[in-house]
Amino acid sequence: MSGPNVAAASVSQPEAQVKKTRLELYLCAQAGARRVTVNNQQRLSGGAIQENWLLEVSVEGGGYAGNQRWVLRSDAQSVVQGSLSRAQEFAVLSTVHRAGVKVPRPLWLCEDTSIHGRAFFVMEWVSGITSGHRLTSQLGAQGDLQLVADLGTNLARIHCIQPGEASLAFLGNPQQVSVQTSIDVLRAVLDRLGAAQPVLEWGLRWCESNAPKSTARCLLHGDFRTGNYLAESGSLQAVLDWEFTGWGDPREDIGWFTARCWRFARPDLEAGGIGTLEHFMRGYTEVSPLTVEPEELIFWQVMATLRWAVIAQQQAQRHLSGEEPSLELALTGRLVPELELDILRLTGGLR
Amino acid sequence: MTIRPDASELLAIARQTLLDELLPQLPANLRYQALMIANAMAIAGRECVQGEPAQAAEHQQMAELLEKASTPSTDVRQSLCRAIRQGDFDTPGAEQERLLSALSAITRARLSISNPKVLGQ
Repeated sequence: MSGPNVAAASVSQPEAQVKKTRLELYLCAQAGARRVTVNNQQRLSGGAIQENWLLEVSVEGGGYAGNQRWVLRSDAQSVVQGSLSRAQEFAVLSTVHRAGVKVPRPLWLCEDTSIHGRAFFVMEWVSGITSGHRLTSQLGAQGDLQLVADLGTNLARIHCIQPGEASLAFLGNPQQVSVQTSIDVLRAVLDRLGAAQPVLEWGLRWCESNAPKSTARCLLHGDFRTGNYLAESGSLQAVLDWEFTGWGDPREDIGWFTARCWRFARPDLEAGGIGTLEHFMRGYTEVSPLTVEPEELIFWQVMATLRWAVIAQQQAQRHLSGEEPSLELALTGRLVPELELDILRLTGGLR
Repeated sequence: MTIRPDASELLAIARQTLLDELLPQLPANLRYQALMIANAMAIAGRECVQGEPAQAAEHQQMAELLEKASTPSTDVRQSLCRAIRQGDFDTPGAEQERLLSALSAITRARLSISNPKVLGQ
């Protein structure tokens, strides 16, 4: 709709200005405004796979009139396989937002790459802290009762979304998800990396022999952990990072959230370093009845630790291959022995 | 060849200088990077001293499990991984105990290089 005007304006302006004007015209049309001015844009930290830009905008006219803070989320330069496209992530965000999960309100999806160079969507900006170390380092003995209950409640709301939800058909067939498939995938990655790691093999074999009976499938966040949500003054502001969403066993998300590797400064607080498992499950069961037996939780914590150990080796490989030289990625590879210790301990294998 | 200060001594004093003299002068947004550098130097320093003996011990322990002491290091690891994956150590008993003792010792030796703090927990 605004294409011809943008083309005419681009003749003598530098590229950045053209891009900004194009974006403003797009936002203006979407917001039903008279005019939208982007006063400031700033790349937000986090997200090696996606780029997040904070847009500070002035809107004249329409339902968004006034000063607004929006986040533009697009693919980064290098696309990682296996994670959702922006269009799919937008569909997930819209679905969970409707289901009452605390997320940044999704506004508009743009798949027309002539606007920004890559597909993107716009959502409302939410304030808060994501840093796992900051969130866990100032807590009392019991942790943060409100935040941990909020986390339980919101995870349960996600898990209430059932396969068959038409807007999420692209997430595939929930019947094809199984523990064995996950184990096969992790083994294939290890083999591809040439990473012969006996402790990880022990863990994978243990999981193969100790898988609990599967339950009904539901929507999983896929990366629900401290570090991937915004919190402020002891309450949950927004659950972030939806690119690994899929169908599965609800206990898988709980195992990931409670695994020791995501407890940061508070390894004693099983629920993400934020609170006790009991307080977390109290929040969860306010929304949805779910009992997790201790041995089921251990199983899913082993699976979580294995998954993170495999990802850590992939991250190290991104550095070692020269694809993305990075001290942080290199050091991530050095986390593996800690994860191996956790695996031995959880499987009763530590001597 | 031994030239003093050796590699681990150089890393130790370089790291100390980073932490004592550079870090306090750095703006807050570079603090995390500086701490990562200090961590990397600490790991490298410990590996200078403990790396070779740890690797030799690891090889020995894995080879004993497979009773093939002469195989080169990567082959031993791969053979052991294959054996575990095939279920050779599934049955509780002496064999499994030997495996778990070896894996525990190897993991502790790796941790004493990568992150010895965890061993105390």
